Amino acid sequence: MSLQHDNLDPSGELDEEIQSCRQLAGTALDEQPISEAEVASVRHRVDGDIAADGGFKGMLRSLRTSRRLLTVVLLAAGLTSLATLAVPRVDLSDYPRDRMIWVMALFAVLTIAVGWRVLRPLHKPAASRWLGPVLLLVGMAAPFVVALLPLQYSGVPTGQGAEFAAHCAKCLTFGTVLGVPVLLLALAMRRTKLDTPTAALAGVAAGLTGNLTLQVACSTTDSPHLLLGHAMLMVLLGGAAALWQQVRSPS
Amino acid sequence: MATPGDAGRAGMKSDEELMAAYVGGDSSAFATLFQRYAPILMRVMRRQMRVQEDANELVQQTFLQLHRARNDFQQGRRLRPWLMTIAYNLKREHFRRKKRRPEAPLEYEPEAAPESRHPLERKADRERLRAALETVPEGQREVIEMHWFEDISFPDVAQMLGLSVSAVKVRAHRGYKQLRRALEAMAAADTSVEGAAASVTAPVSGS
Repeated sequence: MSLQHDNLDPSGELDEEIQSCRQLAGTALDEQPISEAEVASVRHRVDGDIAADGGFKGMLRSLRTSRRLLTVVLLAAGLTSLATLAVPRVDLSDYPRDRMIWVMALFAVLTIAVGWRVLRPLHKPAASRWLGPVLLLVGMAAPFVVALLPLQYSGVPTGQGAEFAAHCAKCLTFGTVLGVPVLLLALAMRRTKLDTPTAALAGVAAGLTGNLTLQVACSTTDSPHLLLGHAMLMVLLGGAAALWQQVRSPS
Repeated sequence: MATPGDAGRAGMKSDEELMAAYVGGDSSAFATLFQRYAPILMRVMRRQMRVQEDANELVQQTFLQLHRARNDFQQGRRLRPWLMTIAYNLKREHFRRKKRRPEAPLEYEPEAAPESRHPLERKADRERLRAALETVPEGQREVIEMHWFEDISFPDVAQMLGLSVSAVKVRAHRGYKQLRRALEAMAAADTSVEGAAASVTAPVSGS
Protein backbone atom coordinates (compact mmCIF):
# COMPACT_ATOMS: atom_id res chain seq x y z
CA MET A 1 0.00 0.00 0.00
CA SER A 2 1.39 3.40 -0.91
CA LEU A 3 1.58 5.99 1.74
CA GLN A 4 -0.67 8.97 1.12
CA HIS A 5 0.08 12.56 2.04
CA ASP A 6 -3.01 12.82 4.22
CA ASN A 7 -2.71 9.42 5.82
CA LEU A 8 0.86 9.15 6.97
CA ASP A 9 2.15 5.87 8.20
CA PRO A 10 -1.06 4.81 9.93
CA SER A 11 0.19 1.36 10.85
CA GLY A 12 3.86 2.03 11.38
CA GLU A 13 4.60 0.73 7.89
CA LEU A 14 7.45 3.16 7.46
CA ASP A 15 9.06 2.08 10.73
CA GLU A 16 8.75 -1.55 9.69
CA GLU A 17 10.41 -0.85 6.34
CA ILE A 18 13.25 1.01 8.08
CA GLN A 19 13.80 -1.82 10.56
CA SER A 20 13.81 -4.40 7.76
CA CYS A 21 16.38 -2.41 5.82
CA ARG A 22 18.59 -2.04 8.89
CA GLN A 23 18.54 -5.78 9.48
CA LEU A 24 19.17 -6.64 5.84
CA ALA A 25 22.05 -4.13 5.58
CA GLY A 26 24.06 -5.99 8.22
CA THR A 27 27.35 -4.28 8.97
CA ALA A 28 27.36 -2.02 5.92
CA LEU A 29 27.03 1.15 7.95
CA ASP A 30 29.60 0.44 10.62
CA GLU A 31 31.41 3.73 11.03
CA GLN A 32 34.82 4.37 9.57
CA PRO A 33 37.30 5.99 11.92
CA ILE A 34 38.32 9.56 11.18
CA SER A 35 41.83 10.35 12.33
CA GLU A 36 42.64 13.54 14.19
CA ALA A 37 45.38 14.24 11.68
CA GLU A 38 42.86 14.29 8.83
CA VAL A 39 40.58 16.64 10.75
CA ALA A 40 43.55 18.89 11.54
CA SER A 41 44.58 18.91 7.88
CA VAL A 42 41.13 20.05 6.75
CA ARG A 43 41.09 22.64 9.54
CA HIS A 44 44.40 24.02 8.32
CA ARG A 45 43.02 24.39 4.82
CA VAL A 46 39.81 26.01 6.06
CA ASP A 47 41.82 28.52 8.09
CA GLY A 48 43.79 29.35 4.94
CA ASP A 49 40.57 29.83 2.93
CA ILE A 50 39.09 32.12 5.56
CA ALA A 51 42.28 34.16 5.85
CA ALA A 52 42.29 34.62 2.07
CA ASP A 53 38.61 35.58 2.07
CA GLY A 54 39.05 38.96 3.70
CA GLY A 55 39.11 42.42 2.20
CA PHE A 56 36.37 44.29 0.39
CA LYS A 57 35.34 41.28 -1.68
CA GLY A 58 35.08 39.13 1.44
CA MET A 59 32.94 41.77 3.09
CA LEU A 60 30.61 41.90 0.07
CA ARG A 61 30.24 38.13 0.03
CA SER A 62 29.48 37.93 3.71
CA LEU A 63 26.59 40.39 3.52
CA ARG A 64 23.18 38.89 4.05
CA THR A 65 21.77 37.55 0.79
CA SER A 66 18.90 40.06 0.84
CA ARG A 67 21.47 42.86 1.12
CA ARG A 68 23.65 41.40 -1.61
CA LEU A 69 20.68 41.30 -3.96
CA LEU A 70 19.59 44.78 -2.90
CA THR A 71 23.08 46.10 -3.64
CA VAL A 72 22.99 44.70 -7.18
CA VAL A 73 19.47 46.03 -7.73
CA LEU A 74 20.41 49.46 -6.40
CA LEU A 75 23.42 49.57 -8.72
CA ALA A 76 21.21 48.69 -11.71
CA ALA A 77 18.65 51.30 -10.62
CA GLY A 78 21.37 53.88 -10.06
CA LEU A 79 22.86 53.33 -13.50
CA THR A 80 19.43 53.60 -15.11
CA SER A 81 18.77 56.82 -13.20
CA LEU A 82 22.15 58.13 -14.25
CA ALA A 83 21.33 57.42 -17.91
CA THR A 84 17.95 59.12 -17.50
CA LEU A 85 19.52 62.23 -16.01
CA ALA A 86 22.65 62.39 -18.17
CA VAL A 87 21.36 61.42 -21.62
CA PRO A 88 17.54 61.25 -21.54
CA ARG A 89 15.82 60.22 -24.75
CA VAL A 90 14.71 63.26 -26.67
CA ASP A 91 11.20 61.88 -27.13
CA LEU A 92 10.62 61.03 -23.46
CA SER A 93 7.46 63.13 -23.28
CA ASP A 94 6.03 61.67 -26.52
CA TYR A 95 6.90 58.00 -26.05
CA PRO A 96 3.83 55.88 -25.06
CA ARG A 97 3.78 55.88 -21.27
CA ASP A 98 2.18 52.41 -20.92
CA ARG A 99 4.83 50.84 -23.12
CA MET A 100 7.61 52.55 -21.21
CA ILE A 101 6.22 51.32 -17.87
CA TRP A 102 5.75 47.68 -18.80
CA VAL A 103 9.02 47.38 -20.69
CA MET A 104 10.93 48.90 -17.76
CA ALA A 105 9.00 46.71 -15.29
CA LEU A 106 9.70 43.58 -17.36
CA PHE A 107 13.44 44.26 -17.58
CA ALA A 108 13.61 45.22 -13.89
CA VAL A 109 11.79 42.11 -12.69
CA LEU A 110 13.97 39.89 -14.87
CA THR A 111 17.12 41.62 -13.60
CA ILE A 112 16.05 40.92 -10.01
CA ALA A 113 15.12 37.30 -10.77
CA VAL A 114 18.38 36.61 -12.59
CA GLY A 115 20.38 38.41 -9.91
CA TRP A 116 18.69 36.34 -7.22
CA ARG A 117 19.61 33.15 -9.09
CA VAL A 118 23.23 34.22 -9.44
CA LEU A 119 23.50 35.13 -5.74
CA ARG A 120 21.43 32.24 -4.40
CA PRO A 121 23.04 30.95 -1.19
CA LEU A 122 23.79 27.29 -0.55
CA HIS A 123 21.94 27.06 2.75
CA LYS A 124 18.64 27.22 0.86
CA PRO A 125 17.17 23.99 -0.54
CA ALA A 126 18.39 23.32 -4.06
CA ALA A 127 16.30 25.05 -6.71
CA SER A 128 14.81 23.20 -9.65
CA ARG A 129 17.44 22.26 -12.18
CA TRP A 130 15.33 24.00 -14.85
CA LEU A 131 15.25 27.37 -13.10
CA GLY A 132 18.66 28.52 -14.34
CA PRO A 133 18.13 27.57 -18.01
CA VAL A 134 14.60 29.03 -17.99
CA LEU A 135 15.80 32.34 -16.54
CA LEU A 136 18.67 32.39 -19.02
CA LEU A 137 16.31 31.83 -21.94
CA VAL A 138 13.62 34.25 -20.79
CA GLY A 139 16.15 36.91 -19.82
CA MET A 140 17.95 36.63 -23.15
CA ALA A 141 14.73 36.57 -25.18
CA ALA A 142 12.89 39.45 -23.48
CA PRO A 143 14.67 42.35 -25.29
CA PHE A 144 14.29 40.52 -28.63
CA VAL A 145 10.56 40.08 -28.04
CA VAL A 146 10.20 43.74 -27.02
CA ALA A 147 12.07 44.80 -30.16
CA LEU A 148 9.71 42.81 -32.38
CA LEU A 149 6.44 43.89 -30.76
CA PRO A 150 4.58 46.46 -32.88
CA LEU A 151 4.59 50.05 -31.65
CA GLN A 152 2.16 52.69 -32.93
CA TYR A 153 4.75 55.38 -32.58
CA SER A 154 7.89 56.41 -34.42
CA GLY A 155 10.87 57.82 -32.61
CA VAL A 156 14.02 59.25 -34.09
CA PRO A 157 14.88 57.55 -37.42
CA THR A 158 17.86 55.27 -37.34
CA GLY A 159 19.38 56.02 -40.73
CA GLN A 160 20.84 53.50 -43.17
CA GLY A 161 24.10 51.82 -44.01
CA ALA A 162 27.09 53.16 -42.14
CA GLU A 163 24.91 55.53 -40.15
CA PHE A 164 22.72 52.63 -39.01
CA ALA A 165 25.76 50.55 -38.03
CA ALA A 166 27.35 53.44 -36.18
CA HIS A 167 24.15 54.08 -34.27
CA CYS A 168 23.86 50.40 -33.29
CA ALA A 169 27.52 50.31 -32.23
CA LYS A 170 27.00 53.41 -30.13
CA CYS A 171 24.05 51.85 -28.31
CA LEU A 172 25.90 48.56 -27.79
CA THR A 173 28.86 50.43 -26.33
CA PHE A 174 26.62 52.55 -24.11
CA GLY A 175 24.72 49.49 -22.82
CA THR A 176 27.94 47.55 -22.29
CA VAL A 177 29.60 50.34 -20.31
CA LEU A 178 26.57 50.68 -18.04
CA GLY A 179 25.88 46.93 -17.82
CA VAL A 180 29.36 45.65 -17.00
CA PRO A 181 29.43 47.12 -13.46
CA VAL A 182 26.42 44.96 -12.60
CA LEU A 183 28.18 41.90 -14.00
CA LEU A 184 31.32 42.60 -11.98
CA LEU A 185 29.43 43.30 -8.76
CA ALA A 186 27.27 40.16 -9.09
CA LEU A 187 30.35 38.01 -9.67
CA ALA A 188 32.20 39.63 -6.76
CA MET A 189 29.29 38.96 -4.43
CA ARG A 190 28.87 35.34 -5.38
CA ARG A 191 30.01 32.97 -2.66
CA THR A 192 30.55 29.74 -4.56
CA LYS A 193 32.75 28.68 -7.43
CA LEU A 194 31.57 30.16 -10.69
CA ASP A 195 30.47 27.90 -13.53
CA THR A 196 29.74 28.75 -17.15
CA PRO A 197 25.90 28.81 -16.95
CA THR A 198 26.01 31.10 -13.92
CA ALA A 199 28.53 33.38 -15.61
CA ALA A 200 26.14 33.58 -18.57
CA LEU A 201 23.31 34.44 -16.17
CA ALA A 202 25.37 37.23 -14.63
CA GLY A 203 25.98 38.48 -18.17
CA VAL A 204 22.24 38.41 -18.79
CA ALA A 205 21.66 40.53 -15.64
CA ALA A 206 24.20 43.00 -17.02
CA GLY A 207 22.56 42.91 -20.47
CA LEU A 208 19.14 43.60 -18.95
CA THR A 209 20.60 46.56 -17.05
CA GLY A 210 22.11 47.80 -20.30
CA ASN A 211 18.70 47.50 -21.95
CA LEU A 212 17.08 49.42 -19.08
CA THR A 213 19.53 52.26 -19.62
CA LEU A 214 19.00 52.20 -23.40
CA GLN A 215 15.23 52.23 -22.94
CA VAL A 216 15.51 55.60 -21.18
CA ALA A 217 18.35 56.98 -23.30
CA CYS A 218 17.82 55.90 -26.94
CA SER A 219 15.01 57.51 -28.93
CA THR A 220 15.08 55.09 -31.82
CA THR A 221 12.12 52.72 -32.08
CA ASP A 222 12.84 50.87 -35.35
CA SER A 223 12.89 47.11 -34.84
CA PRO A 224 16.17 46.54 -36.74
CA HIS A 225 17.94 49.01 -34.48
CA LEU A 226 16.32 47.60 -31.33
CA LEU A 227 17.37 44.11 -32.37
CA LEU A 228 20.96 44.89 -33.33
CA GLY A 229 21.71 47.81 -31.04
CA HIS A 230 19.80 46.82 -27.89
CA ALA A 231 18.80 43.16 -27.81
CA MET A 232 22.15 41.97 -29.13
CA LEU A 233 23.60 43.27 -25.90
CA MET A 234 22.20 40.15 -24.25
CA VAL A 235 24.16 37.90 -26.60
CA LEU A 236 27.24 40.07 -26.32
CA LEU A 237 27.39 40.23 -22.50
CA GLY A 238 25.91 36.78 -21.79
CA GLY A 239 28.20 35.18 -24.34
CA ALA A 240 31.28 37.14 -23.28
CA ALA A 241 30.77 36.22 -19.61
CA ALA A 242 30.26 32.56 -20.46
CA LEU A 243 33.28 32.53 -22.77
CA TRP A 244 35.44 34.28 -20.18
CA GLN A 245 34.50 31.68 -17.57
CA GLN A 246 35.01 28.82 -20.02
CA VAL A 247 38.51 30.03 -20.88
CA ARG A 248 39.33 30.77 -17.25
CA SER A 249 38.14 27.47 -15.91
CA PRO A 250 36.96 24.92 -18.47
CA SER A 251 34.19 22.78 -16.98
CA MET B 1 21.07 9.73 20.05
CA ALA B 2 22.79 12.90 21.14
CA THR B 3 23.84 15.23 18.36
CA PRO B 4 26.21 18.18 18.39
CA GLY B 5 23.13 20.36 18.55
CA ASP B 6 22.25 19.00 21.99
CA ALA B 7 24.03 21.09 24.55
CA GLY B 8 22.72 19.22 27.53
CA ARG B 9 25.92 19.20 29.49
CA ALA B 10 26.42 22.08 31.85
CA GLY B 11 28.56 24.85 30.46
CA MET B 12 28.39 23.55 26.91
CA LYS B 13 27.11 26.08 24.41
CA SER B 14 24.59 24.99 21.83
CA ASP B 15 25.46 25.13 18.12
CA GLU B 16 23.16 28.08 17.70
CA GLU B 17 24.80 29.98 20.57
CA LEU B 18 28.21 29.27 19.08
CA MET B 19 27.06 30.46 15.67
CA ALA B 20 25.68 33.64 17.20
CA ALA B 21 29.03 34.15 18.95
CA TYR B 22 30.89 33.61 15.68
CA VAL B 23 28.69 36.10 13.86
CA GLY B 24 29.52 38.48 16.70
CA GLY B 25 33.24 38.04 15.98
CA ASP B 26 34.27 35.24 18.38
CA SER B 27 36.58 33.08 16.25
CA SER B 28 36.96 30.48 19.03
CA ALA B 29 33.27 29.66 18.49
CA PHE B 30 34.13 28.65 14.92
CA ALA B 31 36.87 26.38 16.24
CA THR B 32 34.37 24.62 18.52
CA LEU B 33 31.85 24.26 15.71
CA PHE B 34 34.58 22.82 13.50
CA GLN B 35 35.53 20.28 16.18
CA ARG B 36 31.90 19.23 16.49
CA TYR B 37 30.99 19.02 12.85
CA ALA B 38 34.14 18.27 10.85
CA PRO B 39 34.25 14.55 11.76
CA ILE B 40 30.52 14.20 11.06
CA LEU B 41 30.78 15.93 7.71
CA MET B 42 33.87 13.90 6.79
CA ARG B 43 31.93 10.71 7.45
CA VAL B 44 28.96 12.00 5.47
CA MET B 45 31.10 12.96 2.48
CA ARG B 46 33.17 9.80 2.54
CA ARG B 47 30.04 7.76 2.31
CA GLN B 48 29.12 9.71 -0.82
CA MET B 49 32.43 10.11 -2.63
CA ARG B 50 34.75 7.67 -4.28
CA VAL B 51 37.87 9.73 -3.65
CA GLN B 52 38.86 10.69 -0.12
CA GLU B 53 40.43 13.95 -1.27
CA ASP B 54 37.15 15.00 -2.92
CA ALA B 55 35.34 14.30 0.35
CA ASN B 56 37.80 16.40 2.34
CA GLU B 57 37.60 19.19 -0.25
CA LEU B 58 33.81 19.30 0.14
CA VAL B 59 34.10 19.48 3.93
CA GLN B 60 36.57 22.33 3.49
CA GLN B 61 34.15 24.10 1.15
CA THR B 62 31.28 23.57 3.57
CA PHE B 63 33.09 25.40 6.36
CA LEU B 64 34.15 28.17 4.00
CA GLN B 65 30.48 28.58 3.06
CA LEU B 66 29.52 28.61 6.74
CA HIS B 67 31.96 31.48 7.17
CA ARG B 68 30.74 33.39 4.12
CA ALA B 69 27.07 32.86 4.90
CA ARG B 70 27.34 33.51 8.64
CA ASN B 71 25.26 36.68 8.42
CA ASP B 72 22.49 34.74 6.70
CA PHE B 73 22.06 32.48 9.71
CA GLN B 74 18.86 33.55 11.42
CA GLN B 75 18.24 33.52 15.14
CA GLY B 76 15.80 30.79 16.08
CA ARG B 77 16.88 28.40 13.33
CA ARG B 78 18.83 25.23 14.00
CA LEU B 79 22.38 25.02 12.77
CA ARG B 80 22.59 21.34 11.92
CA PRO B 81 20.08 21.23 9.04
CA TRP B 82 21.39 24.61 7.86
CA LEU B 83 24.94 23.28 7.66
CA MET B 84 23.88 19.95 6.20
CA THR B 85 21.95 21.76 3.45
CA ILE B 86 25.17 23.55 2.49
CA ALA B 87 27.07 20.26 2.47
CA TYR B 88 24.49 18.45 0.34
CA ASN B 89 24.21 21.36 -2.10
CA LEU B 90 27.99 21.38 -2.49
CA LYS B 91 27.92 17.66 -3.12
CA ARG B 92 25.26 18.14 -5.82
CA GLU B 93 27.31 20.89 -7.46
CA HIS B 94 30.37 18.65 -7.35
CA PHE B 95 28.59 15.91 -9.28
CA ARG B 96 27.03 18.41 -11.68
CA ARG B 97 30.43 19.88 -12.47
CA LYS B 98 31.84 16.43 -13.05
CA LYS B 99 28.80 15.75 -15.24
CA ARG B 100 28.12 12.53 -13.39
CA ARG B 101 25.04 11.31 -11.65
CA PRO B 102 25.41 11.11 -7.90
CA GLU B 103 26.89 7.82 -6.87
CA ALA B 104 25.04 5.55 -4.58
CA PRO B 105 26.71 6.16 -1.27
CA LEU B 106 29.20 3.90 0.47
CA GLU B 107 31.62 4.11 -2.44
CA TYR B 108 34.55 5.22 -0.35
CA GLU B 109 37.17 2.61 0.42
CA PRO B 110 39.48 3.60 3.25
CA GLU B 111 43.14 3.49 2.37
CA ALA B 112 44.03 1.72 5.59
CA ALA B 113 41.96 -1.20 6.75
CA PRO B 114 39.83 -0.04 9.66
CA GLU B 115 39.81 -1.93 12.89
CA SER B 116 36.92 -4.27 12.53
CA ARG B 117 36.15 -7.79 13.43
CA HIS B 118 34.45 -8.41 10.09
CA PRO B 119 36.15 -6.36 7.38
CA LEU B 120 35.26 -8.76 4.59
CA GLU B 121 31.72 -9.18 5.78
CA ARG B 122 31.32 -5.44 6.02
CA LYS B 123 32.74 -4.93 2.55
CA ALA B 124 30.28 -7.45 1.15
CA ASP B 125 27.42 -5.84 3.07
CA ARG B 126 28.44 -2.42 1.82
CA GLU B 127 28.59 -3.60 -1.77
CA ARG B 128 25.15 -5.18 -1.45
CA LEU B 129 23.66 -2.05 0.09
CA ARG B 130 25.28 0.13 -2.57
CA ALA B 131 23.89 -2.04 -5.35
CA ALA B 132 20.46 -2.05 -3.72
CA LEU B 133 20.50 1.73 -3.40
CA GLU B 134 21.20 2.02 -7.12
CA THR B 135 17.72 0.64 -7.70
CA VAL B 136 16.08 3.43 -5.68
CA PRO B 137 15.10 6.63 -7.57
CA GLU B 138 17.40 9.55 -6.80
CA GLY B 139 14.87 11.70 -4.92
CA GLN B 140 13.98 8.82 -2.62
CA ARG B 141 17.58 7.73 -2.25
CA GLU B 142 18.59 11.19 -1.09
CA VAL B 143 15.99 11.07 1.67
CA ILE B 144 17.26 7.65 2.77
CA GLU B 145 20.85 8.91 2.80
CA MET B 146 19.92 11.83 5.00
CA HIS B 147 17.53 10.05 7.31
CA TRP B 148 19.22 6.70 7.77
CA PHE B 149 22.89 7.21 7.08
CA GLU B 150 23.20 10.68 8.56
CA ASP B 151 20.54 10.29 11.24
CA ILE B 152 18.74 13.49 10.23
CA SER B 153 15.13 13.75 11.38
CA PHE B 154 12.30 13.93 8.84
CA PRO B 155 11.47 17.56 9.74
CA ASP B 156 15.12 18.50 9.18
CA VAL B 157 15.27 16.57 5.90
CA ALA B 158 12.11 18.42 4.84
CA GLN B 159 13.78 21.74 5.67
CA MET B 160 16.91 20.78 3.77
CA LEU B 161 15.02 19.74 0.65
CA GLY B 162 12.39 22.48 0.76
CA LEU B 163 9.59 19.93 0.97
CA SER B 164 6.79 19.26 3.44
CA VAL B 165 7.37 16.62 6.12
CA SER B 166 4.55 14.58 4.60
CA ALA B 167 6.18 14.63 1.19
CA VAL B 168 9.50 13.56 2.69
CA LYS B 169 7.85 10.67 4.55
CA VAL B 170 6.15 9.55 1.36
CA ARG B 171 9.50 9.55 -0.43
CA ALA B 172 11.09 7.75 2.51
CA HIS B 173 8.40 5.10 2.61
CA ARG B 174 8.64 4.39 -1.09
CA GLY B 175 12.42 4.47 -1.01
CA TYR B 176 12.78 2.16 1.98
CA LYS B 177 10.24 -0.22 0.49
CA GLN B 178 12.16 -0.41 -2.77
CA LEU B 179 15.43 -0.77 -0.89
CA ARG B 180 14.07 -3.56 1.28
CA ARG B 181 12.85 -5.44 -1.80
CA ALA B 182 16.21 -5.06 -3.50
CA LEU B 183 18.09 -6.20 -0.39
CA GLU B 184 15.80 -9.20 0.01
CA ALA B 185 16.27 -10.16 -3.63
CA MET B 186 20.04 -9.96 -3.25
CA ALA B 187 19.98 -11.95 -0.02
CA ALA B 188 17.86 -14.61 -1.73
CA ALA B 189 20.26 -14.73 -4.66
CA ASP B 190 23.23 -15.07 -2.27
CA THR B 191 21.47 -17.89 -0.43
CA SER B 192 20.74 -19.80 -3.63
CA VAL B 193 24.35 -19.40 -4.78
CA GLU B 194 25.64 -20.61 -1.44
CA GLY B 195 23.20 -23.54 -1.53
CA ALA B 196 24.35 -24.52 -4.99
CA ALA B 197 27.99 -24.27 -3.96
CA ALA B 198 27.34 -26.38 -0.88
CA SER B 199 25.62 -29.09 -2.94
CA VAL B 200 28.57 -29.19 -5.35
CA THR B 201 31.19 -29.48 -2.63
CA ALA B 202 29.23 -31.79 -0.27
CA PRO B 203 30.54 -35.41 -0.15
CA VAL B 204 28.32 -37.81 -1.97
CA SER B 205 27.00 -40.36 0.48
CA GLY B 206 25.63 -43.87 -0.14
CA SER B 207 27.47 -44.50 -3.38
